Amino acid sequence: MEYIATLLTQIAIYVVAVAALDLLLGYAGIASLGHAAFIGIGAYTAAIFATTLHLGFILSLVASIAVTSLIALAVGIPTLRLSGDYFVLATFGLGSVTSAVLQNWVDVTNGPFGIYGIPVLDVLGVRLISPGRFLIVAAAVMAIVLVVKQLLVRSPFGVVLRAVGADELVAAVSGKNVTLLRVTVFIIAGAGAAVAGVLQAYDLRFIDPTLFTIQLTVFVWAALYVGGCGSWLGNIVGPLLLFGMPEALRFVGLAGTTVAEIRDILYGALLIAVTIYRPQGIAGTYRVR
Amino acid sequence: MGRGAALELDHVSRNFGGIVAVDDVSLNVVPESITSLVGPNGAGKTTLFNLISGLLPMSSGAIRFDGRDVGGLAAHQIARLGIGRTFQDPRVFSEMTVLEHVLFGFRLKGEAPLRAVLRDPRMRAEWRTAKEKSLALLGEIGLGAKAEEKAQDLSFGEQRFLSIARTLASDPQLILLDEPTVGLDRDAIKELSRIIRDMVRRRGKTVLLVEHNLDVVLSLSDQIHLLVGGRLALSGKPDEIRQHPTMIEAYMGMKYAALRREH
Repeated sequence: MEYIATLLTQIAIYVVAVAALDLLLGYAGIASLGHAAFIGIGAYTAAIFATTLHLGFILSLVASIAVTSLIALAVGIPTLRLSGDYFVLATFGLGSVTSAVLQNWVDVTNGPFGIYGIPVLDVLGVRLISPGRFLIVAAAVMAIVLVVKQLLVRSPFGVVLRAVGADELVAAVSGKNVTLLRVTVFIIAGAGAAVAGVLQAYDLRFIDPTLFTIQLTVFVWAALYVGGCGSWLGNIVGPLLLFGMPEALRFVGLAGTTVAEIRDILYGALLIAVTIYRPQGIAGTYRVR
Repeated sequence: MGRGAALELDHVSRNFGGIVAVDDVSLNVVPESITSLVGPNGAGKTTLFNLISGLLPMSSGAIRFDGRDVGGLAAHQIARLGIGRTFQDPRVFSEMTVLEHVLFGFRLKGEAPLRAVLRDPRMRAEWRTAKEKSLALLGEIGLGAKAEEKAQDLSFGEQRFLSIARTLASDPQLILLDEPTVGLDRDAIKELSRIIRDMVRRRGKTVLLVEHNLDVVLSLSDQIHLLVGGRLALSGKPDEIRQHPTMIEAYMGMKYAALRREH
């Protein structure tokens, strides 16, 4: 049971990361390869605040969202003026720079050794030490994030967001401040990524720079794509499948090591199958542009 | 609905490298009137639209709207001052519904993400009113029955009407229409002409029209300007323009024949 709770917790954390990317990529059409960077910045900020200042979970979470949002603002203002391909390159650069900083700014990040001893998650003074209890918190956070996302997209803001994603020129001549909107959604997605990072830090209680590389970005992109853009259900289905599929093989009796070896083949097959048979994603409504 | 406002072009030019696309054009658009820009392909009509709506910077000259210098403003700032436009292609948002296109046009306070999340009663009331107004507008444009359909499922003509409804929703005082009849059949052109006349008579808008269909231009316009090679070649009322040698010269060939048939 503990194992399943741990697995479901990881899925919930990835749902948060995928939902944040969906706002950016699925709705606003902004292709960012810097998603792992924001998850990492969120995780590290919370881990540092929790281990050095001994802030509780809620305060670390708030601090982490604030710091990540500011960094998203600082990165977003210059880069979101770039057109499509150049923006993708810039965010790829952001990912690389973030990895380098996490590796080398030893005084703050402890470099390649990472940050360990992240305290057990406590909510209002209650220590939630068992995986089952952590799952409750992770699932609650996930639900809040999905609800906030739905409120955002099913509103005038969401309509304008999709319009900007579809045709910036039309949005501009209709009086919409396209750059402001793009920066705004970039910050919101950064904050969402930070939430996923904070949960990850508290779940693993040990983080190091290798967790937040471009591979994580690719995984979140894949989960969003498989589940489908523009759908809260898709945001859940994607991580559920990507995590659940290898696990299911273990339950039918394959050895753990075999599953690990064929996992990438599975992911590849899944991506190809979705691309051919359901390009909008399993539960998706919009196509990734 | 807002009242029309005057647009003034003052020695406006635009070069692309060595090519002069718009060459020293000065003209006035009178409030609550329909003014048309005509001329052969490449005459600089669409470039002029892009200069007015702020998608391209001018090389020299000045553009004033309602007495205010709008040169150098960003496209969205110019739009907020009351200049709306359509494009030659409908440029609809293919995955969005017809209703959402019109809702998009309105400028709502609920566009702020925080208000979207908090859903305070005022924001909800605003959203509801906007939906009602959108449906009414769609009804006037003839798309009322298709409000919930995705734009990509509409015919080309319907997409054109939708793009006009989207522009009207943002309530501009001056509307720039870039070849609105292209690709429309006879009935649709008739309906479009009615809508354009309505913009001025019922809504008090000012219309600036780029159009190749001379029948439409001659029947709708209060004032016509002929652009040739980026320069203003001729200006006048439809009756003055119709038979003018410069006009006939610019529209030689099929257009020439069409003009003759009228008389």
